[in-house]
Amino acid sequence: MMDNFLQPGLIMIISGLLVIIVPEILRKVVMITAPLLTGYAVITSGADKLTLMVGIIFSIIALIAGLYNLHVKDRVELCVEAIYAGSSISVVFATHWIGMLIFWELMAVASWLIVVVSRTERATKAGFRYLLVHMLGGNLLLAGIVIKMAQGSTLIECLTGQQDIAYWLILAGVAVNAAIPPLNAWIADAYPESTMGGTVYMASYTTKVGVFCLIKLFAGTEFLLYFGVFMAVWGACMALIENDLRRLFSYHIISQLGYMIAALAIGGASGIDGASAHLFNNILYKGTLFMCSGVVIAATGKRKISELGGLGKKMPVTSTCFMIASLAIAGFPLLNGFNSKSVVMNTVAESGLHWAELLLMLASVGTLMSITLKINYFVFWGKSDNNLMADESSVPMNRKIAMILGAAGCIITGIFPNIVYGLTPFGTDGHPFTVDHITQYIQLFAGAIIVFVMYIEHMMPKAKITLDTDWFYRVPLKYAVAFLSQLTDNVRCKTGNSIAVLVEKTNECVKNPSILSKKIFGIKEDSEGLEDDDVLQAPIGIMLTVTALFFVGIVVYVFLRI
Amino acid sequence: LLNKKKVYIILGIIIVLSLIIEVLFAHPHHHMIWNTVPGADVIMGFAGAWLLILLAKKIMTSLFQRKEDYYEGGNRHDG
Repeated sequence: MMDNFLQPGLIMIISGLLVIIVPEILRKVVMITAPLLTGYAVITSGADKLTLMVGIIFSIIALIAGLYNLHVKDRVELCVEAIYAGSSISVVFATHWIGMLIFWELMAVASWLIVVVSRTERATKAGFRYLLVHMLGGNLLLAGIVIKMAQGSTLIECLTGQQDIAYWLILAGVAVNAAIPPLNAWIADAYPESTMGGTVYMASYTTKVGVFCLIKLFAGTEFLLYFGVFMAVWGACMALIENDLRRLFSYHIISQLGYMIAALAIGGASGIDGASAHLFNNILYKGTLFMCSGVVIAATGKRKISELGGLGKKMPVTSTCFMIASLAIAGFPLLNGFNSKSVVMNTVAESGLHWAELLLMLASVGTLMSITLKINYFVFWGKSDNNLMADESSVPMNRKIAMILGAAGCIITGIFPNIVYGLTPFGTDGHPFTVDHITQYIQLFAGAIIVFVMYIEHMMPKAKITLDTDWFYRVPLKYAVAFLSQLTDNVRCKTGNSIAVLVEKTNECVKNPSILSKKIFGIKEDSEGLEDDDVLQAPIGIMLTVTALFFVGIVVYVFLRI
Repeated sequence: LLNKKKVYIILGIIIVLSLIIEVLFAHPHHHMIWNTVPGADVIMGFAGAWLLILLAKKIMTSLFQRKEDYYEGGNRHDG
């Protein structure tokens, strides 16, 4: 049990606490050394390959995100971000159900704080919804784990094939973090409200921990394939109509998770390798996309695509890094998304699931259109009427370096796919750079670009918001709760009033029982009998008699019993 | 800069080049029609993109998109 707590994630958690108290100059040292030390601890931990792989990429992104946030003065934010990263790594390294659960909850609380730490009203509200959803997930997991432990299983094990209640509860708990519909809306709801750096952290950990747990616990669960494929296509469609920059990326998290979930649902060596390789690459390019969008939003003060435009030449470093990461997410050859996507697609094709293969290709086309083409055109390189006064002089150097590191990571792991392939649990030896594979993607993208250019006038997103499953708890649930509270309030008020009336009447009768006798015997108030003392006192005499008789009865009864 | 016509020409050249390379050098690993027929992927990319735009821009926009103040108590049932 103890090894659940003395493990690499602890370094980041302690660094989070240190960040609050140490002097300014040491704070930066702590923020950079902690991820490096974590990385070292991960490599020397001797854990299994899947844990090692996820631990390594989590340490890398902790370093890059730490660098991205190096200039931030808000120590509370930096603290919760480090604790969040540390608790995510701790979940990955946990071997005991309880250890997993404790860090899972810590992760949920820390990530909620990352949302609310931007200190806007929107963030507070979105953070509250975020916390509710994640507490639900945590409690489902808790219930499942309690049942598991009652059955005598204390160590985390693969649950595939079991169909008992604990299986379903744990699956539902993990599904919240992996954003499996209908439990997906929290991503697009909360992520855009966080701070620029906070979003980079959040995009890298929560959902990936969910996928890691799915790989570890549920690899080979066939029905998840349907969810995975649906997520891949639906996320891309939602991204296509989305207007808010970071909400759009949030939908792409869902779309990319779809690929991973489809691969792990098929399972086997290649499925698990495909899912974990895609997880690794996804963190790099998705982190870079969020870093670039954060820089754009911070520099311009605008978060909607319809209000942005023409930033390509004004922000050269950002737009170049964004271009690289956006090509990587679409699966452009020589960038990392291509390599891991090819393992996933191979797995699906070899399983004979041609419908899934076609739909995942469709999702690739959607990704290309909604990120690579749409954002590069409307935000960076296309003609725009929005004349924004933004340039990169206000962007801190550390943010530029972080973006460049992220983009460089996409290129390096793209050109040398064996770096990632070698880390996968089964050491997949996919050959992504075959002629048919490269021509396939080039042709697919060329066909899609033609359509995009044809309809370019219609591709500009409208200044509207898109409803998601969060509608259910933001509108009907709100009314249902309002109705219930109104109902409870009414019942409370009515009951209270009735009791008050009853008490008042009883009081009157006890104080002056003649009122009772008047009511019972029909003596009217204005009758002359009211003046008569005998009439007034008669009921008291009766009352006393009855009481005395009752008392005597009790005494007699008690004596008889003895 | 780039107008539509130039983009089409560049894409046309890329497609023709990739087709030549595919016909000469490619050895498909899988045997479904979209793996074996040269240029099938262009059609799939085209059809897929068209389908997605139809699905997202026509259907999903009208179903799921609302005014920006929808949740803040704006005109609630307005499409």
